[in-house]
Amino acid sequence: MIDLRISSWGIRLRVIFLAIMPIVIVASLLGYYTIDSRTSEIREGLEERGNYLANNIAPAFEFGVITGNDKIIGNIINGIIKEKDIVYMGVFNNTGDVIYEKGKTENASKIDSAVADKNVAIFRAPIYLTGIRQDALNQLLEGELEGNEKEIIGWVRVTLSTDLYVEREKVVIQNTLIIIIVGLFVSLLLALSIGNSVILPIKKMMGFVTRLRKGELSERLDVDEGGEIGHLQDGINVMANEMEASHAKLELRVEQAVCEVQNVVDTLQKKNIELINARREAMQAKDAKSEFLANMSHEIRTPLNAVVGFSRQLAKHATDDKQIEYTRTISRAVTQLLTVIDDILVFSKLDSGNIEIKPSEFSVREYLEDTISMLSPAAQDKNIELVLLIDSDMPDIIKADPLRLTQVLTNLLNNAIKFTDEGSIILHARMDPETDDQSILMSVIDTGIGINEVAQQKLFRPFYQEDSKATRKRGGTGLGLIISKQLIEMMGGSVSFSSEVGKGTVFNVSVPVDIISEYSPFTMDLLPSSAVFLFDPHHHSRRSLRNNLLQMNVPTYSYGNIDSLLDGLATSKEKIFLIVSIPADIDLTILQEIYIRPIRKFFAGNLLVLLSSNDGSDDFIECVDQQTHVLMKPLRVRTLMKEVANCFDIKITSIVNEVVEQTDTLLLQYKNIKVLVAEDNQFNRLYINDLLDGYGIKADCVNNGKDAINACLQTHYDIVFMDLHMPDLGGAEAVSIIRNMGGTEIGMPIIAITADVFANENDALIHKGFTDCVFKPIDEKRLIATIIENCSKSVGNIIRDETDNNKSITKLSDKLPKDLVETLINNLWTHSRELDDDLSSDDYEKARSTIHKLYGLICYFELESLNLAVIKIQDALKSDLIEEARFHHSDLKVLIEDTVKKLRELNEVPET
Amino acid sequence: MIQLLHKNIRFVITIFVLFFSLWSYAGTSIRITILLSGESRLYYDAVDGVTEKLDGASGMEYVVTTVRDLSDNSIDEIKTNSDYIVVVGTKALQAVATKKIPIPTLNILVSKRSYQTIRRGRENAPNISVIYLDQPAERTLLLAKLILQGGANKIGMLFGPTSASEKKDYVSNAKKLSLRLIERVEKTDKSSLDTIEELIKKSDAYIALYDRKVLNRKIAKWLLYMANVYRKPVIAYSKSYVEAGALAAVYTKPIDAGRSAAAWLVENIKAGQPVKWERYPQRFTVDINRRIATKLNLLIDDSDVVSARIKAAEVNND
Repeated sequence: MIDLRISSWGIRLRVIFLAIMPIVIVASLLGYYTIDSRTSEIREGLEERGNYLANNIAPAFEFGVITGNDKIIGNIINGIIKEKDIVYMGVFNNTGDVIYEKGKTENASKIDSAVADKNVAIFRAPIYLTGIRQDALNQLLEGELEGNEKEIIGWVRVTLSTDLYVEREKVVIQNTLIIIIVGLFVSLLLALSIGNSVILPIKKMMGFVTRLRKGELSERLDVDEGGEIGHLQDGINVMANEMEASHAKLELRVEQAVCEVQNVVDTLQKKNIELINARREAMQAKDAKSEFLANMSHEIRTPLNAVVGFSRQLAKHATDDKQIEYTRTISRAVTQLLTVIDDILVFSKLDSGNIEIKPSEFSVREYLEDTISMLSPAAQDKNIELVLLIDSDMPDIIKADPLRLTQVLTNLLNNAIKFTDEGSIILHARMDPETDDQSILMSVIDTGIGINEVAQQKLFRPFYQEDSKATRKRGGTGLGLIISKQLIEMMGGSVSFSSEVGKGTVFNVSVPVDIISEYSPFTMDLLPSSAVFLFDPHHHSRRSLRNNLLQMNVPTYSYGNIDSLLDGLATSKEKIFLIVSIPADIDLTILQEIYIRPIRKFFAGNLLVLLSSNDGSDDFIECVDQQTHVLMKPLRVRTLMKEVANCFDIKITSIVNEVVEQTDTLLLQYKNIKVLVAEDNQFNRLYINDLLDGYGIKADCVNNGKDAINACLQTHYDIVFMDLHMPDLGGAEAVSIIRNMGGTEIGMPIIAITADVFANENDALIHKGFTDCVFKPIDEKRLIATIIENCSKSVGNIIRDETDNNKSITKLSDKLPKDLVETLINNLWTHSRELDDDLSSDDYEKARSTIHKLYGLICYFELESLNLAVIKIQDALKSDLIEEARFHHSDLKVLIEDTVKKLRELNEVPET
Repeated sequence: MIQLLHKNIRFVITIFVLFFSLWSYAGTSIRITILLSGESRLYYDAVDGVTEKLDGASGMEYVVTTVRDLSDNSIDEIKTNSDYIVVVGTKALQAVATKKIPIPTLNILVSKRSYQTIRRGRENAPNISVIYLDQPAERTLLLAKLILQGGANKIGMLFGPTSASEKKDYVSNAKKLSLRLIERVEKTDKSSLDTIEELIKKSDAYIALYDRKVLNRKIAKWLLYMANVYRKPVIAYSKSYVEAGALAAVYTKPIDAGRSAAAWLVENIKAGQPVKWERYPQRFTVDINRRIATKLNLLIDDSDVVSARIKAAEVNND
C-alpha cells in the first residue's frame, strides 16, 4: 500500500512535488482558461460576426425593400456572399416572406425556416425604415401626433459556416496543450535540477551526519555549496567540531568519573570488608556473649544448685533455731542471687528473641495459691499482709503459659514486697471486664512507697530504677518490670499501673486465656445450727476467707472488730467453728492477751488461728489449748475445707481426698522405677540422688556421658536425667548415641539437666533427642513433676489406671466366688511363669501361645492396664522384638503381682 | 438636468418680472396667460419672444403655465383673471380648443393643417387668432426661384391626401413667379418614392411639402438620397432637412413666433378691443447647405441676403 502522506516522503519527492504541483495546477487552470476563453472568443467572434454582418447589412436593404427593388438587394447580397464563411444570405419582407436569397446550402422561404445542417450558425436582423433626424420644430410642422418609433419593413438572414471556427478551436486546444506539456516537461526538468541541487548536498550532509553518529567525529564536510546549504554545511562542520570537542571532554569526564567510581568502589569494598569483619566480630562477640552467658549461667547455677539443695536438706534436719535461721538466710540469699541472674538471662533472651510462649492447661486458682505461697515467706519477713483475693468469676482450668505468668507475677509481687514497708499486698484476680476476649485480670495492689511521676515515665525502661535512697537500699536489677511487660505483651496482654507517692501502687496485668473449665467449688452440707465465725481485722484478708467459706456453702459470720466478735460469740447459739486471722503487723507476744483469752471467755469450741508471721509463732503455739489449731497464712482453700470439715465431723467428697492426696499416692507408686542420673558435679549428683531417695526412688548415678551410655546398655531405665555439660562426652552427644542404639532406649525419656538458660529451647533439645528439660538449681517439685509426667508413658499405665484397676478388682471379687478367684490367681501366676520360661529359653513360638492364653485369662479381670501390657507383649513377639517383649513382660509381672495381692486381700485368700 | 435648471431659472425670472410689473402698476396691470404645450425649450423660446418684445412696457402681468398643470378650475381661473391668452403649441391648442374662452386668445407654433383640423367648425370665433408656423407657398417658391440659376424653373412637388389642399396656392404662386410646377398628387397609401424619383428626374428643384402619407421624414431620407443621386436641389421646410441634405429651407423660429405674438398683444392693447389675426408668420429664417450648394455648383447668396430678398419680394408682391 502506497503511503500518500507527505510526511512519509523523501526530500527529493517533496521538492519535485512542491515544484511541479503548483505548475501543474497553474498550467491546468491556465490551459483550461485559455482554451475556454479562446473557444469562447471564437464562438463570440462567430456570433459577433454573424450579428454584425446581419445588423450592419440590414440598413443597406432598406431602400431595396421600400422600393421592392430586388436588383439592389441582389447586388448587395452577391457582393457580400463571396466571404468564405457566409453560406447563405436572404432578405425577407416584414411578413417573413422571402424577397431575395442566395446561398450554398439552403433555400428558406420564410425567415424562421429550420436548417438541417448542424455545422452552420444562423443570424437574423430586422430591416428598419429610418428617417432624417427630427427636430422639435419639424415635429410641430409635421404634426406632433406622429410617433418616432422605428418601423420594421423586413428581415435579413445570414447563415455562417462554423467549420472554420471549429478548426480554429482545435488549433487553439492543440497549441494550448502543447504549450502546457512543454511547460510541464521543462518545469519537471527544472524541478529535478533544482531538487538535485538541494537533495545531493542534503544527502551528502545526511551521510556525514550518519558518519558522525557512528563516531567518526574527525570527518568534515566539504563546503562546496553557497547560500543556505553552504551555511548549513558550515553549521554542521561547526557542530562536528563542537561534538568532537564535547566528546573529548565527555570521555575525559567519563574517565574521571570511572576513576572516581573505582575509588568509591575500592572504598566501598574496603568498608564492606570492614563491615564483614565487624559483623563477623559482632557475631563472634554475640556467640561469645551467649557462650559466656551460658557458661556463666552454668557455672553460677551449678554451685548454687548445690547450695540451695543442701541448705534445704539442712533445713529439714536442723535441730535448733540458729541452724534454721542460717539455712533460711542462705536460701534467701541464693534465691535473691538466682533472681538477679534469671532476670539478666531472661532479659537477654527477650532481647535476642529466644523466648516463646508455650500455653498449657492448668488450674489458675491453684497456680495463684502456689504463687502466693511461694512469696509469702518474704512478706512474712517484713510483716506485710499478703492476700490472695479471687473473684467468683475466675475459671478453674485455663490455657496459658504458667511459667511466664509466674515470672510476671513473681516480679510484680517481689517488687511490691520490696517497696512496701508496712500494710498489705493484695493479689486480686478476676475476669477482665474491659476486654472483649476472655482475659484474666490480675492486680497487684500494695501500700508501698509509690512511684513519682518522673519515675512513672521511665518505669518500663531497662535497668531503670528510681534514683532515691529508698529505692537503692532495696536493690534489684531494674529488669523485672520490662521483662514482665514484654512477656505479657508476647502473650497478647497488657500491663498498666497507677501509683501515688506514699500511698501505694497498683499494677494491672490483663492476659488473654482460653478457658477450659469454669470453677465449681467444693460444697459442704453443714447442720442448720452450725456456723463459722470469722475474725480478721484486715479487710481484704477477711474478704478472701469469707468468700472461700461462702463458696463452700458454709454459713459464715465475719468480724473485723474483736468486740463485735465477742458480742457475736456471746449471743450465738450455733455450733461454731471460729477462725481468727491475725494480721502480720500484730505482735504475737501479745496475741494471747488481746485476742485469745477474751475469746476463750465466751467460746470454748474449735478455734483456728491463722498467723501471718513466723516471728514468735512457736511461742504462741506452745501456749494454745487443745481446741486451738494454728496454721500459717496463706491458707489454701483445700486446707480451709479440711479444717472446717474436721471441725464439724463432715466427710468431704472422695474427690477432695483424691486431690489432696494425689501427689503422695502417685509418688508412692513411682518408687519402683529405675532412674539414671548423669551429672559430672558430685554435689548436684548427690543432691538429686538425695531428693529421689526422699521419695523412695533409687537412682543409678554416673559422672559422664560414656558411663551413661554403658549404663543404658546394661539396664533399662524408666527415666534418665542427663547433664548437658559433662567432660569427655556431653549430654547431647550421649543422648544421640543412646537413641541410635535401638531397642527400648528409642522411647526412653531422657531429661536434660542444665544450668544454661539459653538451652531452654525445647525444640532444639527434642531435636537432639531429649524428652524434656530441668533447670538448675533443681526444684524438688519440678523434678517430681517431670518424673510423674514422663514415666507414666512407659510404666505409667499401671499407675495412671490404678484407680480403675482397684475398681475392677473390687468388682471381680464381688462377682466371683472365692474358690474361682483363687483358681484365676493360680492360672495367672502359672501363665506368667510359663511366659518367663519361654522367653528365657528363647522359645518364642511357645511364648506366643502362652501370651495368647494369658490374654484370654486377663479378659476376666477387665483390667485395661493388664490388657494393654499383654497386647504390647503380643505385638513385640509378632515383630520378633524379644527385648521389648521382655521389657513389657517385666511390667506385666509387676501388674500381675499387684493385682493378685489385692485380690488376695479382698477375698482373704492365703498366699501360696 | 441643465436644461431643467435653465427652464426653472427662466420661469423664476419670468415670475419675478411679472411680479415686479404688477407691483409697479398695481391697479392698472394687464394679465397675460401663456399656456404652453409642454416643458420643451421650444415653447420657452416662444415665451422669451413674447416677453422680450414687451419688455419695458408698463402694466403687463404674465402667467406661464403648461397643459400638464391645467385643470377645469385653472381654466376658469384663467378665464376670470386673464386679459389675454397666448396658446403655444398644438397640445395647448387641443387643451383649450373645446373650451369656450371669452377673452382674446392667440395660437402660435401650430401648423395651418393642425389648426384647421383642431378648430374645425369654430374657425370664426372672433376672439381666437392664430399665427401659423408653416410658410406660405409664395415664400417657399420665392426661395426656390432665388436658388435656381441658369434658367432653371421646373419645380417638382408631390401632394398627398392632407396636402392636396395647398396645391392651389403653389400652382398660382408658381405661375406668378414664372416657375413651372411639376406636381403629382398621391391619393393612395402606396409608396411615393417612385413618384418622387420621377418628379426629381423631371424637375430642376424639388420642394418638399410635408404630408404624412407621401412625404414623411422616413421617405424624406430617400428623397434627399435620390435628389443627391440625380444632383437636384431640394427646398425644404425645416432646418433638419438642410442638415440632412436639402439645399435650403425657410422656416420660422419659436422666438420669432413669440415676438409675433407680442406684436399681436400690443395691437390688441392698443386697439382696446380684440383684434383677430389668422396669418402666416411674417418673421422667418432661411438656411442654406453650403456643402450641397458646392456639390451642385450653385452660387447662392448668404442666407440673410436671401431672406431679405424674399421679404422684399413679398412686400413688392403685396
